[in-house]
Amino acid sequence: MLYQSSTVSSLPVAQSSILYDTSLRTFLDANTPVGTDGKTHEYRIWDPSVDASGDEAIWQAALKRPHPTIPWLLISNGVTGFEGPLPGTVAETLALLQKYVVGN
Amino acid sequence: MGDLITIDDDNYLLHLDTVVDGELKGLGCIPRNYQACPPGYMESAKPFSLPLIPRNEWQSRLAAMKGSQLSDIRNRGMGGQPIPSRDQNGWGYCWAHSPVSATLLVRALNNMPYVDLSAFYIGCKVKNYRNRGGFCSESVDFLASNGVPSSQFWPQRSHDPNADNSATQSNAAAHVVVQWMDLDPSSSQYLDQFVTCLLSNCPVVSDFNWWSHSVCTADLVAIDPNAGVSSLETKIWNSWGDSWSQNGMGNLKGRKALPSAAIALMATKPSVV
Repeated sequence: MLYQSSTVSSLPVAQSSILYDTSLRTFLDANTPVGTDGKTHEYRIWDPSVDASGDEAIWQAALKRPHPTIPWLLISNGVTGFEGPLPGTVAETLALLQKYVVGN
Repeated sequence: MGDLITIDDDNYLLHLDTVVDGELKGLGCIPRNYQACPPGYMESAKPFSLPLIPRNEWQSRLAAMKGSQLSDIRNRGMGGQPIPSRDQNGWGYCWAHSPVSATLLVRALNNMPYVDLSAFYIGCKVKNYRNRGGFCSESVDFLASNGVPSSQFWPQRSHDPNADNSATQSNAAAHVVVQWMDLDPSSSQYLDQFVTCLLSNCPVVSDFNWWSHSVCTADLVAIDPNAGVSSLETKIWNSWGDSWSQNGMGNLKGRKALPSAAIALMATKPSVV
């Protein structure tokens, strides 16, 4: 997920909740692999201006992909995925993520 | 977990002692001179410019954040476990620890792997290894230029100059933090700036002159927009280890909750080391 930190307070509350929501993070923890540290699950929530050179190559590549609007959402399960504007609510985001859970 | 400590206008004198439960905790914050260091004087900390959240939205936004504030994110930020509190170990380096606590919170918000960042590096480098007080913009400026290393390179609570080598400096540079916003305590909208940051999950590095202490303000607990600062209650992340209050976090109320100097952290440089 990409969000503009300098204007984050102007997001609608239902959409800004996506960035922080505990249930969404619990879902992501349950459905994404762990990274190189063996603990942290593989999702990122960033300002698009960050210098990602210190993160894993897959995240550097993800950040380099086009994101014509902000906030933006990129999902990949290694086979298929989604790139587009961040949905408006936590429920919509969870529904979208659910489509790309391997095995569904 | 210990009992929650709440400090307010009535009991704050009881909390000025730096010996807590027999341990010297340490303070070290000196007032920022706003004539010499006005808001926005640092290149890395622009004057506050977040769109202010209207007061009539404060209550609904606070309700919507229940369970998803920075303290909640901290509590699962180390592979599902709480991120440990920093510990200034009796030294006057609170001002070096408060922005590092903020950095840890934003890293967790970004879902970056936990890195055990060592704030003593900043204190030692800025004060030439002397046990001296400071104010948060000193450490923020250093963090923006030099970063902060992990404890693998600079052990927690160390003040050994021999650890300052190219490997340590290189690791520190991986944790440079360049995006800050400098709040303006002289502004008539200062409370609105502060509340907007907290309602946006932006941690605020907070110097309190009444306490001679700098901490990281993490959560907004309560605010009545009509009553203003007297109704303010926040949750802070102290740098006195996890044994202080509840897992290192306590509450400030009323005027004691509004910092004398405040810098919000907006974004950090991602890194996995």
